[in-house]
Amino acid sequence: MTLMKNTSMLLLFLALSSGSVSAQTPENVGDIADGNRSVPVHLIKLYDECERVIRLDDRPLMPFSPRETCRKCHDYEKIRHGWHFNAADSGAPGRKGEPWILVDRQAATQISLSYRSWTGTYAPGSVGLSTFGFLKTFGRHLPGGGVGEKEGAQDLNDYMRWQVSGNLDVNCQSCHNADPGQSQAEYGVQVLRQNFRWAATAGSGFSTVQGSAGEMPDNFDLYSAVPPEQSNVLPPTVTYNSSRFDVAGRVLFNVPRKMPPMQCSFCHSSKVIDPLRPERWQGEEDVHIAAGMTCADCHRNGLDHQMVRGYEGEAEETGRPAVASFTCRGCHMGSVDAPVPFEGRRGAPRPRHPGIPPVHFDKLACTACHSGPWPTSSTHRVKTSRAHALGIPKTDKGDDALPQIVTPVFARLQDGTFAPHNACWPAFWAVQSGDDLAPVAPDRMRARVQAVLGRDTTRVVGRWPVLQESEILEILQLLRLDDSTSGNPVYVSGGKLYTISPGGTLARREDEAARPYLWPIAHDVRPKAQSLGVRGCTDCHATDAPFHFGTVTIASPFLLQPDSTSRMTEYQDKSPFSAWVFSMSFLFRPGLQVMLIVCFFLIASVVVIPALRGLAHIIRTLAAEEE
Amino acid sequence: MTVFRILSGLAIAALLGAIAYDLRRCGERWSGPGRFLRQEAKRAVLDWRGRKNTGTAGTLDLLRRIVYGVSAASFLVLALTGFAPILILGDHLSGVLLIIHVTIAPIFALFLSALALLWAHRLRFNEGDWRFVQGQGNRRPFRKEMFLRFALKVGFWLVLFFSLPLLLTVILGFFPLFGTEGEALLIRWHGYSALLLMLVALTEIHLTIVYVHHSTEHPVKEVAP
Repeated sequence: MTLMKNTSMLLLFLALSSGSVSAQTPENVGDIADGNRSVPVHLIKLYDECERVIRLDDRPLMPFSPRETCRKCHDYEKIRHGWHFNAADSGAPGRKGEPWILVDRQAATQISLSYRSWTGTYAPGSVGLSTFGFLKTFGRHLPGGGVGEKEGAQDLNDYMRWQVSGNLDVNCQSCHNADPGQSQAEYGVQVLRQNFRWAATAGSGFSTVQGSAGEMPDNFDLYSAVPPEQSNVLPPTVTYNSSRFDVAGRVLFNVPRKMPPMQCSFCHSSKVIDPLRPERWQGEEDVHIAAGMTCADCHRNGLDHQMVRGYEGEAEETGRPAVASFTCRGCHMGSVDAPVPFEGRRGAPRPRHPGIPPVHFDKLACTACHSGPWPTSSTHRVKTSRAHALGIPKTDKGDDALPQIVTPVFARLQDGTFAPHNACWPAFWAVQSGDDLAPVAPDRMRARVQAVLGRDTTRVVGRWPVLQESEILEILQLLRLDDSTSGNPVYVSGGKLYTISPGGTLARREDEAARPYLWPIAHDVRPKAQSLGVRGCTDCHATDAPFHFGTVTIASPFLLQPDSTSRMTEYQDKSPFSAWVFSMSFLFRPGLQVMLIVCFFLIASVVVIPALRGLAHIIRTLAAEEE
Repeated sequence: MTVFRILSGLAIAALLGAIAYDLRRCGERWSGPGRFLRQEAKRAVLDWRGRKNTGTAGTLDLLRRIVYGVSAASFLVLALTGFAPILILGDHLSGVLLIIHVTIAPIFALFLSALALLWAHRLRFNEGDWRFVQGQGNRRPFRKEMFLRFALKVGFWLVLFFSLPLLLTVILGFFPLFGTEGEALLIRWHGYSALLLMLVALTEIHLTIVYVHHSTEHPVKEVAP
């Protein structure tokens, strides 16, 4: 009898277990479309991080966890490995994208970081940023997930802080909540306050979060009062707008199938500093958005959240052939190899490209002529959401705010085609050992740089703490004194690598580490009438055309090279001479056209006139024979 | 591109093979074309020095030969720069080769026009050619000189004829008249015209060498190219 009872209990346990497991499998109710095109109403209960339903009379009132709330109907495990969250996962990094740029003015540092293995970027850990530190710095523009919840990647030294702040789980609402109150800015502020577990709730638009986990001691406990010694600071607390809860304790989320572009813009905006168009009203938006499309019309994804990035070659790289139809070519030109035609999606017009030799379509990405700001004689500075914390309250709104990024730089992509890029020049202290270059954490350098700079507070050029050659040498010597065994101290800046020569002077040289980090840009797409080439070949093939001969500004905190420049051809694996000669030939093109036409008619006359005379002779001969 | 690459590769190989075979058959040494060029250069220098004695006719004759030489040379450069990337790399014409190609192209067009004007009358078809053709119909034996002269005339007019689509496809490409497919078609036609022109022109150059060599050994009254 006891055995039967135990067996029944075991079966019951297994049944319940299988039920709870099935709640996290792809059979989740929200993940299977039945074909109905209406939008499901998301009137749902909220769950906290311990999977307990949130009730307004709970004490303490907990923030809701998107992870636990959404996983009731959606396969969170699958979603959390999507493109926005998988940077720290091993696997294909995909085409180079925008890095996280760590800026420390006081350490004269500007360095590109990424958890992805993009050449030219450094792992955050290499500059002393633990995952916790990374989130504190950049989490404002992350939709959570990734290192925010990857407990295996958490530094043991940060263990207590993680306990206080909680994990930064995937915040589904960052992209899927169309409520006008949904505020990614508020989310960002909460992340900066280290209120990781509260951030999603604060940004939802129906709650208020006060206090800061960052100010709480390591032993802060959510469920108990603040220690007396910390009574002057406010612990993180949440207050819900009770009117948003129905009698069953459910909250209505506005989750449309396709989010408006503004939702993506928080993290994907850029501001080009164009002196000719300083005001916002003078600018334009992407031609696709202006036509009423949304970002998700092209950048689609399935449940796995592997976003279509939309670049040429992505289909082959990711092994997803269907992705090829979402590139510029895919929608506008289609493919002759496709089993069914897919061009013309969303009414995409097929371009005629009249008068443009086909070689252009092999040598240029579509974006070369159609995307980014119209190139002028020199590059513009550009501010981006992630690099300059755009959208976050009290961020530096100055046009010269660091990091310094310039655009458009026409450089080669991996597939050999030219495309516009953003470029960021690295500036950092490092230790070189053999061929390896290990950046020194800005925290370590700050005091040394300030000790040198502190002697003269009058130097201000832009936002960089301007350094002179003797000062760089002095700082490098200090660095060497610190640890002479680890390698040779160097400073990378302005496209050069500076080191102490055997004679004790400062030596400079070219180095791969000093090359700018370039990432391709595809937006904003300009209207057809503003495409390169619309005014003729000389838009690009003139001896002063920006495409080849534009001036690229090199950002540098180094005094001898403030705003030094380079030519666009340096990034094109192209000899400036051959580019110049080729462009020069276009000066003679009008004359050449006339000459060729004259030659053609001359030769045609020489061929046709005797032919007509021969024909006349034949006619006469035949007539004579008849007569 | 692949079809054109294969076709042009086969055609050029076949023509060069035929020329090599003909040179051997005629007992020419491999240094024949080189020797011919040296002789012609010497002859041109001598004619230049003695142009005052020969008057306008002599100057015109020298001019004809210079125009012929420059046209042939510029054509060979164009053929090399145009076909080398396609045959060897299977790629579009670009970079330094493109610069050379577009620089030499107007020179070729100019000298080809001059060639047409200077040689058209001399290489016109006449009664003698008609009799030669009739003779072929009646399977009469012919003199090698007659055949070479006739072949040179045919080659000359074919060169002019094939140069027309070659020029036209370039001229049309200059103007924004055709879209992507149209431009691609123009380039394809330019390539095929160039291929036909090259086959005819190489044959013409070969026949000229053979003719000059033949007429040196068996002097004739009329001067041919």
